[in-house]
Amino acid sequence: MLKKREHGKRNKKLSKQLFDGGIYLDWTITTAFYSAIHLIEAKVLPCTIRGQQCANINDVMDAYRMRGRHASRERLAQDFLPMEVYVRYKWLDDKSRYSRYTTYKITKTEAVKACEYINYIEDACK
Amino acid sequence: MTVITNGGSETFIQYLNSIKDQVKKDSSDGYYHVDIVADAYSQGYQDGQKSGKKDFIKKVLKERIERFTQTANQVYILTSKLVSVLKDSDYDVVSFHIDLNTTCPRSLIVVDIEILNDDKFVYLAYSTIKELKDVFKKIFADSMLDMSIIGSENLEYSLLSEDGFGYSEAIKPKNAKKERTRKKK
Repeated sequence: MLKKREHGKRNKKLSKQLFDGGIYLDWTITTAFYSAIHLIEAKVLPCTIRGQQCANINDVMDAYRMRGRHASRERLAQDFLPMEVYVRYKWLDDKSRYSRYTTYKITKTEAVKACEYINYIEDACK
Repeated sequence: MTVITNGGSETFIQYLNSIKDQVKKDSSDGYYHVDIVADAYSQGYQDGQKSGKKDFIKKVLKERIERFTQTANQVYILTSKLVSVLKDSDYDVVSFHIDLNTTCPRSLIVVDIEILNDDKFVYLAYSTIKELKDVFKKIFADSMLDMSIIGSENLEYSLLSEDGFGYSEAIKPKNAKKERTRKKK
């Protein structure tokens, strides 16, 4: 899971750079979310779900009998991480997924919050 | 896109009735189209026993519509529950939107963008979402409710309907009700 953690950290670095650039604030949030995905998988996997050993997200999908990786990952965060981490993960998820409904117009306050939340998730997933 | 301003469970039921025919036509992922299932089933029948196929299609359609209605009602009830939890904590909700087209139904709650940046709100809203999703999961083991929150700033409502959110209901601000009551007096 070291690779996952490194991947998460790399995405987080990019998220910070995009924030500092001040132009692509929507991508600040999206990359923060992609960072969270890797950090959370690195923290939780491998794990056992319903008696089934899960080494990766496909195993998780299979164990939960769910169709999508996205929904399975959210369920993983719900079941294995503290609520404080889950709520921040879900916030990043919603912002990232639905920014298309606001034509990618993201305020600076939202981007600041995304940086704050990914920092929190990284600390919690050490 | 029409956002219903005087919504409620009755309005939602009217909406459900208007889209029930869609369920008959729908052959979404994971389901065989009823005609295909019925054809396979009727192979066991000899010529002249056409009524078997007809009854079978009728039964399958009835079950699918019942299941669809049950799911839709739960989505509406759980979404309304989230709205009421937020309103009870003095957070105004602008509107909510429901997509029943997929095998994984979605509901989207719209709030003021400033509220969405408040840590206390984030904790309350998303921990409640977790509880409500668990309730849905207990009722429908093979389906999952996708419940999300979005800020109202720059929101293009037409994109919601294009993306499948067919039912939309506006929520009256809590303070507006108080103001109206005061005016009456």
